[in-house]
Amino acid sequence: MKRVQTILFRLFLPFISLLAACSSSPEEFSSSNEQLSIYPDYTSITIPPNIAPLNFRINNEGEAFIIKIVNTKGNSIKLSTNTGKVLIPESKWKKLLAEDKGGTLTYEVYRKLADNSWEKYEDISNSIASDEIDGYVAFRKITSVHTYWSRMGIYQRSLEDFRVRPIMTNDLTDKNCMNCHTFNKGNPEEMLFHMRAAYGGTLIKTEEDLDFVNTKSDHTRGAGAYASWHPNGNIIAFSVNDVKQSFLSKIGKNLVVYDKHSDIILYDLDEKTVTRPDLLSTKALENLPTWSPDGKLLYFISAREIDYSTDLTDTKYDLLSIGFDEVSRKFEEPDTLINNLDFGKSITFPRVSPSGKYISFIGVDHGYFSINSREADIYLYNSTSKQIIKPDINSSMTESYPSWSNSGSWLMFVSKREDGDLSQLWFSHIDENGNSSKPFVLPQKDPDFYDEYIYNYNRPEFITGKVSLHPRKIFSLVKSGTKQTFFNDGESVSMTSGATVLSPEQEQEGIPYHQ
Amino acid sequence: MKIFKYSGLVLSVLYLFFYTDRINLELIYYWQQTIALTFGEYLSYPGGVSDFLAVKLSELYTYSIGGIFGAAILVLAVYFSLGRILKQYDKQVLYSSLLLAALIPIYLILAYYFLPLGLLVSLLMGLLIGAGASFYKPENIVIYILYFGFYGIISYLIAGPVGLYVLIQVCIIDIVLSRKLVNLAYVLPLLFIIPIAYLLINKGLTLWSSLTGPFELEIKNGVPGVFFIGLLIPSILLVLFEGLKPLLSGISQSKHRIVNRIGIIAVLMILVYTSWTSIDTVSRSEVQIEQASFNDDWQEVLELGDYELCSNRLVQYQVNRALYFKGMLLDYLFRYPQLFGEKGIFIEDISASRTGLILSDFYYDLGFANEARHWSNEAHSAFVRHPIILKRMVMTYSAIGSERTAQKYNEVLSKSGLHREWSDSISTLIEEGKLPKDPQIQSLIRNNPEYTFFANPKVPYRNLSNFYKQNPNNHIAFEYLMAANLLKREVGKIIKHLPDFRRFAYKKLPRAIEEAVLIYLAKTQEKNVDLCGFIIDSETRNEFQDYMRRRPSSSSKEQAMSQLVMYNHTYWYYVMFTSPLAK
Repeated sequence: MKRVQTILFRLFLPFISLLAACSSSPEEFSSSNEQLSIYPDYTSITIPPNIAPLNFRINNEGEAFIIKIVNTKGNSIKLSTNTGKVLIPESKWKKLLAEDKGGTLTYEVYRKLADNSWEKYEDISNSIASDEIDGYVAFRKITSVHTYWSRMGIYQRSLEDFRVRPIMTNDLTDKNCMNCHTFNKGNPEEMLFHMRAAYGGTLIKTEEDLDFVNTKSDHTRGAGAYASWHPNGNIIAFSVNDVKQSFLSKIGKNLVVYDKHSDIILYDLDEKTVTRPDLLSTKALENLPTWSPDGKLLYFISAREIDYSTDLTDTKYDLLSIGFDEVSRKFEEPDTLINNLDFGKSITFPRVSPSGKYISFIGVDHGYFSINSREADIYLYNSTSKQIIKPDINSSMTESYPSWSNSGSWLMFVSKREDGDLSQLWFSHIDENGNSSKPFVLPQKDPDFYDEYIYNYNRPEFITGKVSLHPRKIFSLVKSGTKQTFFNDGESVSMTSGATVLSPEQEQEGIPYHQ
Repeated sequence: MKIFKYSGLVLSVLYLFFYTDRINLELIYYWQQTIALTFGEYLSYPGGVSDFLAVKLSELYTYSIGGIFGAAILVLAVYFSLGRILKQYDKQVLYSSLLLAALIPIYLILAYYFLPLGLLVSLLMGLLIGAGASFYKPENIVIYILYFGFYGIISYLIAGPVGLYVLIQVCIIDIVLSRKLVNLAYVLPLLFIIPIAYLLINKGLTLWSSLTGPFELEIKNGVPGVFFIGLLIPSILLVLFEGLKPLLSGISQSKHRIVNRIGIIAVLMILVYTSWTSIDTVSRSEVQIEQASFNDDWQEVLELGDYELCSNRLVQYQVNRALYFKGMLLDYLFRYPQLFGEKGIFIEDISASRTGLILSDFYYDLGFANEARHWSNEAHSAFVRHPIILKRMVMTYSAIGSERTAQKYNEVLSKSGLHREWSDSISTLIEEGKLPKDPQIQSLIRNNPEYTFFANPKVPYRNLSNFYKQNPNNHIAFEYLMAANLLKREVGKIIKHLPDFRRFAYKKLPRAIEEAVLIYLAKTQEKNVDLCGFIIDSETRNEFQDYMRRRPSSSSKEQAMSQLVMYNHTYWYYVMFTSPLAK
C-alpha cells in the first residue's frame, strides 16, 4: 500500500508542482521596470458588477505569467499563462464582482524571465460600479458596406457572458438588408426593425402582437426609417428620408451620406395609421426623432433644406425639442435647444438619458450620418443647466451612436478608435453629474478576437433581456407580405415639401394643401 | 479478371492527367477561392465539414500534381464507396463496368467551375459514410433503426442534406437487397426526421432550408442536371443492377469475361468522349481571362480574348486593360468589336458582386487609392474572405494610412497556407514601419487625388476626367480617357488632347487616334487644325481615302458592313457600324 502511494505521488508530482506554481504567487520576485501592456486596455476603468470576464492578452515578453485578481474583500482569482492570454473563469469572476459592488479589483501580474526569476509589474486596478449594466446588447453585424451588401444580421450579445445569438439574419430572406432595430426603453418585447429589398417592410413586436407593416404611403417618399418608441408603447415616431450618398476621392474621406428630403411622421400601432404633423414635415430636414422618458417632448434634429447648389459641407443640423400632448396628439411649437451656429458643429443622433437630465449627441462637421466622419465626437447636453459637456471618452477617430442603459448609468457607443475604420462597442460609466469613466471595449472570450474581426458593430442598443424572436419565426411572418398602413387624413399638413408629399390624386387636382 | 476489373479504373484515373489539364483545375480554385474559417465554425451548420474539406481541396487544385491527386482521390473514393455499397452485385456481369459508368457524372461535375466544390465534397462524404454504414447490417430492427439513425445524424452534420439523401439511398439499397421491405417504413421516416429535429437546435433555418441546406441557394443559381444524376447514382445503379439481372442471367459463364471487357471498354470510351466534349470552353476562357488579368498576365489575356469572346462585356473590359499594359490600347482598340462603347472601359453599372473585385483592380492600376479601397469594400461585402480582395484591402488601407486596419485583413489572409508568405512579408514590413515605402503603396499615395471631388459610380467618365485633371502625368488615366473619348465618338475631345500626346512623348500618334483625327478633319473640313507636329501616317490616310470611296451612299447597314468588312478593325467602322451609338 505504501509502495502504491509512493508510485502515485511520484506519478502526479509534476502535476502537483505545476498546480502549486500555478495557484500561488511567486515567493521571490523583483519589481519590474517595464510597463505592463495589456490588450484590450482594461486598466483604470469602471466596470459593471455583472459584466462578462474581461479576458485580456499580456503583450510583454515572458516565459510565463501569473495573474492574481483581488477584490476589496480579499477574495481572488489566480491564473497562470505561458502564452500571455488571460482567460478568466466565468463563475469565479461573477462571484468576485457580485460580492464587491462599489469596490475595487486589483490585478497583480508576475512575469517569469528566462533565468527563471520572477518580476512583478505595478498593480493595475479597476473600479466595480454599484450599478449593473443591461443584460444584452442588440446590434447589426455588417462589413463596411457602401452600395452593395451580402450577408448581414441583427444579433443579440449577452453582456454577462459571451453568447451571441441571431435575432434575424438575411440567409432566409434572399440576402436583403435589415436595419434600424429599435426598442422601447430596452424592452426586448417591444421592438421593431426594417427590411429592404426582398421582403421589404417593418416588423413591429409588442407584448401582445407581432406585425409586419408597410409604413410607406402615397403621402411619403419612402417608408419610415429612424424610429423612436413613445414610452406609452402605442406611438412610434419615424423619420422618412430621401437618402443620397456620394463617394469622396481624397484620402481620409470616405463617403458622404445626406438627405435630399426628410420629415418625421407618427405611426399609431393600434390604429395602424400614419400621421404627418405639419410642424415636423416642413421644407427643412427634420430627422432622428427621440422621445423624452415621459413622452411629453420629442427631440429631433433639423437643417435647412438643400438644393443642387447647396454645398453639403454647409449642411448643419440643430437640436430641437417639441412639446407633445399624448391625449390630443398635438404638437406645440418647436424650440431650438442647440443651434449649430453657436455650437460650431452639426448635431446628430440625440438620445435622452432615462432620467431626462442629459441628452447625448454626436457633434460632427456637417451632415448627420456621422459614422464615416473621423471628427465625430460624443457630447452631453444638460437639459437643466443647458450646458454642453464633452466627456473624456472620445478619441481622434469616429465615435457615434451613443445609447443609454436602462438605469442611465452606462453609456454605450461605437468607436473606430482601434484602427479608424471598423467600429467596436465601448462602454463608459456616467454618474449623475455627467462625469464619465474611461471607456472599455466589449469583452470577448478570446482576447485576440479584435485582431482579425473584420465586421462592424452597427447601431448597438441596450436591451434588458433576451429577445425571444428568432429568424425562423420572423421569416414565417414576413414571407406572407406586409400589411398596409393607412394615412391619417385628420391631420392638417403643410404644402408638399420634404419627404412627405401629396397623394397622386391630390397632385392631379392641383391641391396645394391637404386639409 | 480482377486485374482487368481494376485496369478500367486505373485507365480512368490516368485519363485524369489529361482531363484535369484540359479543365485547368486551378480555375476552380480561382473562382471559388476563400480563406477557410476555423474548423469549429464549420461545425455550426450541416454540411460545414464538407465545405471545410472543399476549401482545402480547392487549394490543392493550385498545384498541378496536387490537383490531379485531389481529383484522383475523389474518383477513387466514389468508386470504392459505391463498390462497398453494392458489394452484393460484385459477381454479376458488368459489375465493374457499371461502377465505372457511375464515375461519368463525377467527371462531368469536376468541370463545372461555378458549382461550389462543397456540394461535390458533400456528395463524396455521403458516399463514404454510406459505405461505412454498409459494413454492418443489424438483424434486430431496433438496433437497425438506431444504427442507421446514428449514421444519418453523422451524415447530415458532416455532409448536410446532400449526404443524408445519399445515405437514404444506401438504406433503401440495403433493405431492397435484404428483401426486408417493411424496414422502409421504420428507417426512412427516421432519416427525414433528422433535418426536422435539427430545427430545434438551429432557429436560423426553415424546414425547407433544413432539408435542402446550401443546396437551396445553388438550386436558385442553377445546379447542373448532372449533379442530380450524381446525387442519385446509388439508386440508379440499384435499378440498373436489378433491371439488367434478368437480361444478363442468360449469358453463359464462359462469355462473362468478354462481356465484362467489352463493357469496360465501352464505358471508358463514353467517359472520355462525354467528359472531354462537355467542358464549357467559353466559361473556361472567361475565367482564365479574369484570372490572367488578376495575375497581370496580359499576354495570356490577349491570347485568350478573341473577337467572339469579346461579346462578353467583362472579357472586353479585361482585353482593353491588357491592351493598355501591352502598350497597344490606342493602336489596337478597334481590332476588337467594342460592342459596349465606353461601357467596355467602365463597368460600374454592373450590379454584380464580382464587379467590385474587378473595379478595385482597375482603380488600383490607376493609383486611385481611395476608389480602389471603396471598390474593395464593395467586393468585400459579398466575398468576405476572398484572398484577392483581402490583399487589395491590405494595400489600399495601407496607402490611406490605416495600417491597423490593413493588418486585420492581413491576419485573416495569414490563415491560408497559400498566402501566408505574402501575409508574413506584409506583417514584417508593417512591424518595421517600411510598408509606406513599398513602391506600390507609394504609387497609390502619389496618384490619389489631392483635392476632393465626388467619385460618383454613376458617372465614371467624369470620375476619370477629374482624376486625370489632378494627375496630368498619369499615363494610364490619359490613355483610358482617350479610349473612352474614342468609344463615345467624341473626336473633338481627341483633338483637344493632342498636345498631351506630345507631352507624353509619343513619337507618333497611335493608329486609332490617327483614324479619329481623319474623321474629324473630314467632318469639320477645318483647314488649320493644329496636330502638334504629328503627321498622319500615309498608310492611314490612304486607307481612309479608300474607306470613304467604298462607303456606299445608299444601302442597308448590313450591306454596307459587308462591303466595308475589310476595315472592321478600324475606328471608322466602329463609328459607323459597331458602336452602340451607331444608327
